[in-house]
Amino acid sequence: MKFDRSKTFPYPVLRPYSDDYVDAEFQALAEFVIDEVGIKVACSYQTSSIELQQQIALGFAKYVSIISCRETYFRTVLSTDQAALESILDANSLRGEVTVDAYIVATKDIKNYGSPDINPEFGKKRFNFLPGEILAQDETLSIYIERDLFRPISSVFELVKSDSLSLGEWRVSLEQDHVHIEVSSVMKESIDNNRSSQSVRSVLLNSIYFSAVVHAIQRLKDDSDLQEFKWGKIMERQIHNQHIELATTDAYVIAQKLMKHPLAILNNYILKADYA
Amino acid sequence: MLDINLFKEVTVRTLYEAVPNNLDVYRNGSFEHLLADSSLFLASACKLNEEAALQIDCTAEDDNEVACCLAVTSAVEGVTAYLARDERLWARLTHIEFLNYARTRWPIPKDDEKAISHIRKHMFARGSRGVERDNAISRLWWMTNICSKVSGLSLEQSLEAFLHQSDVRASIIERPTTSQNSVVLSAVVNKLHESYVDDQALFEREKFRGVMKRLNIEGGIRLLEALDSHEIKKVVDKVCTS
Repeated sequence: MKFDRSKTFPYPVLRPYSDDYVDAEFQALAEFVIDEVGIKVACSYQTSSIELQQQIALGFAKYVSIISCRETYFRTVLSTDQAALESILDANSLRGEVTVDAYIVATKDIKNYGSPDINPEFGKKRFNFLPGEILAQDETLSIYIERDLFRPISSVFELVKSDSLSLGEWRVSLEQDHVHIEVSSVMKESIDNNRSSQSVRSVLLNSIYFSAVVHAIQRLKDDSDLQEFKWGKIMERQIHNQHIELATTDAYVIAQKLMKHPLAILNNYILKADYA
Repeated sequence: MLDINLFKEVTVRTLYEAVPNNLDVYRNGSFEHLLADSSLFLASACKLNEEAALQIDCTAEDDNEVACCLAVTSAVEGVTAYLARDERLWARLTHIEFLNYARTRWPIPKDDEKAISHIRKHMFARGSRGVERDNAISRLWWMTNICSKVSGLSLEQSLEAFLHQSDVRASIIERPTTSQNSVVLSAVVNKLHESYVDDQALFEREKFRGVMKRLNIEGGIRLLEALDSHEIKKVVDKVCTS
């Protein structure tokens, strides 16, 4: 049962954008941590409704999160009477968009439920619920899971040589699946020969790579068609997963987050070393 | 057991674009010569069980669908749901190991224009529909994967009921509340199997659509995922008899 703000129920359901309850809220969060072993999901729930809290404490209702992935036909139901839970999911069972729907659900027959927060416009003040009927629902959360999304953003950038460029010139080309950073043959060879050095890498990240990422993000902001390229899709989904608004956040701020704050890396390998 | 390396993205793209030039190969030839060029492939954890792969076979008269589904997971080992969304795997298998099966099961039209779109539909696996419904091998894997979640029936029985009518199958797949929820899926497929061995009345297009519509209405009021299998069975019994 997906969240649908226009849907109405024959009984009060505490939901965003609904006035079934006049002064109460239900909020749920789901955070995913992905590593080599699997995907850990941490769900947490909060409601200001004392009456709903009581139904859970009495064992008549539970917090429920349904985690679904349409691409892999995966669906799991997590339920608890606590305000938080954790679970490990098989990394091989999720791919693409993963949604989390959170509810408070009746698990037993509930008779004569009432709350002073229920909108008086309902008319009656007492309600019965069957098992499976929902008492509260939050908006659907979504996250994209692809192995490429958890690699450094630099993995969609490729250094390529261009014979038309002079030693210090470089260009960015976006019209293919990887972002091409074009440099002269001599420069490419020089970078490739020194790439294993951490300090060189930290300088590269803060110079051409950072500028190239800012440029790519800015172009992505201006032209959503670029999401058809692999780099565009990965970048857009990484931005989504980090809860960043592409349209309203400056490209240089987004770039810092996607690149995990490269200035700190420069500090670790160059600046601190200079002061020592 | 043979290692199955995936086509690289660029290999898939090149083949897709070259379909018009390769029509004769698709109709009568083989792409096995590609195996000689390792730069076209990426390593994977998949293995081909050649003996089981022989069971994936059909004729112009008999698509042998249930047996092919039963064979596919043992023929291609190491495929996870994550990997099973990957066109690079299925394009490799339909071009190399299962080209004969693919062109027997999905005969290539004589008209060249029709042949191009037909080949791109059944030998590649673009998007959800391509992976789940169109590619000659991936569709077998996904139907088997869905049926493997059904309890109360053997895999063969589930496949028999699930594959009997394409309309019924599409109605189930299109509804994530049914196809993704193993308890609801089990209750529905068990009902279909009861009907399959009896009068097959539940497979009538309008009747089954009505059942799914009523199940949708039930799922719009109660969170079916929160019910146990006994409660779900009661709900499915009700929507099948009302």
